[in-house]
Amino acid sequence: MVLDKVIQKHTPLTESTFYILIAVAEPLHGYGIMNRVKDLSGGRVQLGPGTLYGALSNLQQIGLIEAADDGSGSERRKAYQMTAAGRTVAEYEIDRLEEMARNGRDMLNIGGKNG
Amino acid sequence: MAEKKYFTPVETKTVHKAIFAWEDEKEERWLEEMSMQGWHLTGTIPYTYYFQKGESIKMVYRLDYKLTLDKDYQEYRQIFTDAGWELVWVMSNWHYYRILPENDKVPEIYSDNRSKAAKYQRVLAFLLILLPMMILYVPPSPISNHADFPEPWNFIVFTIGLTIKILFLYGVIRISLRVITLRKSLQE
Repeated sequence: MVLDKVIQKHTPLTESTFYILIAVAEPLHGYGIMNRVKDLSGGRVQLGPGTLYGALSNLQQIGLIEAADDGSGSERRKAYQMTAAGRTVAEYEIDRLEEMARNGRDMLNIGGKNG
Repeated sequence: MAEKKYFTPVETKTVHKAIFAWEDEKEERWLEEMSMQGWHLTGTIPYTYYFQKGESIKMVYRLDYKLTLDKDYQEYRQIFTDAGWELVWVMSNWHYYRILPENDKVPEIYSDNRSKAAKYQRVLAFLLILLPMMILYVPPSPISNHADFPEPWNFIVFTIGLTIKILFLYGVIRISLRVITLRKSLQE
């Protein structure tokens, strides 16, 4: 399947890329993505505009996100939204990260929601 | 420009300084030092920097490389503007950005090494397009003979041409090494 190849080729996603991808589960423009990622990570992940712009171009090129209408009517600010392929890759990454977190907790005897 | 209080156009200054493409981080630091002395960049052409006197305040400068002819260029500009970066000047695809840091954290236009490496790969891609022209047409050239010029011009043309060629190749090597170093840090 084509999607398996996409997953194989583009995962693991970098931290920035993963956050950008999940930030556009709903349509959002560049600056909105920057703020959402900052909020989601409690201020830990602060995307530089160059990094954000590059990741958006890449994600669009490999078909994980696409241009969307965010309803703001803004001509200059382009909005993006996750594609079906993007959602599959995000879900794959979530499973992988969960597995890592679960194993880490088990091995180190740290209590958690799965431990 | 009136809203920027660090920007009071009274005195100006021109500084001649040779900074090469592979020294962009050194250039950023120098522009920051200038801003601390109250000299704020207004523009640059090769070997020349123009400043205006304003408040002595530390501005953070960052250089980005982006082809202005790219079709998504407006979107690129918008993201930087929204993030608070002021575009001071553009010279042969080099974008001079500055920002007033809000707290102790140094603002960055690239927050990871992957995207930073991509910036230098864009510079490299452009240099590699010029490479055949550099080799073929700049003296000493395999297809035209600089010795055709009368004395002492043949020697002058040869020396200048060779210097340009060596600097160009040196630049390609330096930028390639930067890309390799940055990409090495990504390998898991």
